[in-house]
Amino acid sequence: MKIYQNSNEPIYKQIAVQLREQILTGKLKAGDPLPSIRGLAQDLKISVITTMKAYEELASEGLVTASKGKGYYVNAQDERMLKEQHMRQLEKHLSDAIYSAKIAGVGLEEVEQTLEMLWNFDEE
Amino acid sequence: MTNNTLTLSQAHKIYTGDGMGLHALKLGIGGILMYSATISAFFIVMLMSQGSVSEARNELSGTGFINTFLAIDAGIILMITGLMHYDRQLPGGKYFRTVKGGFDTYRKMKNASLIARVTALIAILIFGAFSHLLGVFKLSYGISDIIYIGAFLLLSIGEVNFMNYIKNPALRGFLTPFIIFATGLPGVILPNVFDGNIYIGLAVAAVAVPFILISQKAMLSDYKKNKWNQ
Amino acid sequence: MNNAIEINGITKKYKDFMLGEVHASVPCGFATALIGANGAGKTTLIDILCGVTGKTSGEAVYFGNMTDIDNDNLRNRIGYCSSANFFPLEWTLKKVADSVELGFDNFNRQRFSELCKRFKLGDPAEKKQKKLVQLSDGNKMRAYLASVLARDTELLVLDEPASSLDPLARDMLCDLFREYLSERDGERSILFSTHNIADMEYATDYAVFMANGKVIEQGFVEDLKEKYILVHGDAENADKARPFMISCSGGRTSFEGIALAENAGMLSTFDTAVETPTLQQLSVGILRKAEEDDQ
Repeated sequence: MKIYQNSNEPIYKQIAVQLREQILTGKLKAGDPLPSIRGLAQDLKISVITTMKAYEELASEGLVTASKGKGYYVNAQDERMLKEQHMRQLEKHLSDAIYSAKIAGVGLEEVEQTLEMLWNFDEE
Repeated sequence: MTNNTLTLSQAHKIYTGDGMGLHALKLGIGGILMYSATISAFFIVMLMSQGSVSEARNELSGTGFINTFLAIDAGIILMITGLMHYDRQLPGGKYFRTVKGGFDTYRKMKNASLIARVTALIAILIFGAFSHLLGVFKLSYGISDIIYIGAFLLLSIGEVNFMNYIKNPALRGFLTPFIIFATGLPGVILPNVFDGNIYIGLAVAAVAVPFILISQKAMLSDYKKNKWNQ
Repeated sequence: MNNAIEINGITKKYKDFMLGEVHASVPCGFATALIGANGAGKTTLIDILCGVTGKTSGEAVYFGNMTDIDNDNLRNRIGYCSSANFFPLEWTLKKVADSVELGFDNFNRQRFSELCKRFKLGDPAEKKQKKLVQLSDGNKMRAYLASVLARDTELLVLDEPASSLDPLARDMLCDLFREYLSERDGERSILFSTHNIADMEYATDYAVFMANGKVIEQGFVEDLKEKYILVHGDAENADKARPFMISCSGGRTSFEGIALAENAGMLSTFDTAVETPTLQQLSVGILRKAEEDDQ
């Protein structure tokens, strides 16, 4: 895991993003424990409350569950939920792309073409 | 107040790094060395002016010289340690207030320090007595002199305790040596007045013991009220 | 959430200074920073909490149920260290160990030696020893910290531990904090005071701000960063923005300050830029407000 301490993205968000990715890609499996809150804080050289906030965010999304006194565990991800999570990610990235397109004055058609080109490029 | 199992010596070690026995030993040896050094210095001066060892020894012995220096050196040792303070604003002061036992440990340390001081005083006096008995340096009235010096220095230990009622440290530090020497002086002079009457010396010593105990108690309760709990 | 210390209306009267009433919490499992200018009352509050000095009124509840700081069980559970001259200056590391070993039930001499070596202070078991007075201020503080960390405690209370340390040692202090907290996950807490929070930002979970003897703000750092915003703007808009800000300072071309997050919308109409404050920026903003109120 890597953290940018001087980035505009809050540190807890950076942690949440990276753990979310590990869960959604299956790197962290159902039942796996997350690192202890204070252990992770020690490793990353950040405050305890920051890691805690990242974990709480993941818990509120239903990705992990706090087990009293034992830390956080990864939940079993059902297919539909997982797809939904991925869709949310997709929408977020596309929104960013649309934002850039609008700033650059690029029309929908051109965006579609670019998307198609990138899609095919990726498949090759 | 919490009960704890610290001994007087352990309490003393928490505050000073030395146990009670080691502290008494350091004080006793310090006093004896200081006394020996003073006497030796005067002996050498006398030796140079008189030319022979026995002449020089005679000059010094039985003149009140030896008594005076015994009293002064023992008094200095008592004063140095009697004036040690452990207030909150002094180095270590905050730490001492957090150790187990709290004020009870402070009280034990102060009692250990008192015992060590009295022990050291006795050791210095015994050294003086031996030097007299062995005929190295003679005192005018022998053991009587020792009793008088000891008795009045015991009184001064009690007085140093009462000096703690003077809250201004500069004034206290200034006055304490005067008080000690003013009290020690009769210990040197009175044997001449009473022709070495040992019972008067013993009577003063008998008064000094309860005086010390009362002063110690008063000093501790004053400290608790005006310093510790503030 | 449990509190390691719950401070309920503590006051202390001096001839020329009045502390409190202080109401504050030190949450269990976290590092709490007591932030304030010199003379704000941080040391007095810490001294009262550790039984170093008496209080005029109020109460502190430790570990949920203990209130008597004279209780040895409680004394043993707290690792306190003052900002300077914690031990007599003529002491060596060995004397420190001899004293602390008797003064508390949970001192580990082996661990003290390890910490001294880690802090490059030398071996306290060796014959030839330097006295504390011969050490630099930073090394003195390291020796004090070693004596406290060599005890198995549940709460560290440190008065200005970072102020005499160089940048590397401050970084190490932050590591020590996190190590202490993580060794017994959630059971240990830290309270430390500082007048310069920048170096301790990534080791602070909860912040208590003090000014003129009073607590003026407190909360978990992540919550405070959502409660407040950092606002920048052009100098020409400063007068319009100021009523919506907590505190604000500026020069000829721009102004900067903090505001409540709920005013972000209003402030954006004055062509301002808004971002999440660092704890340092938050501290400056909150303490500046206290100073302005005082005048």
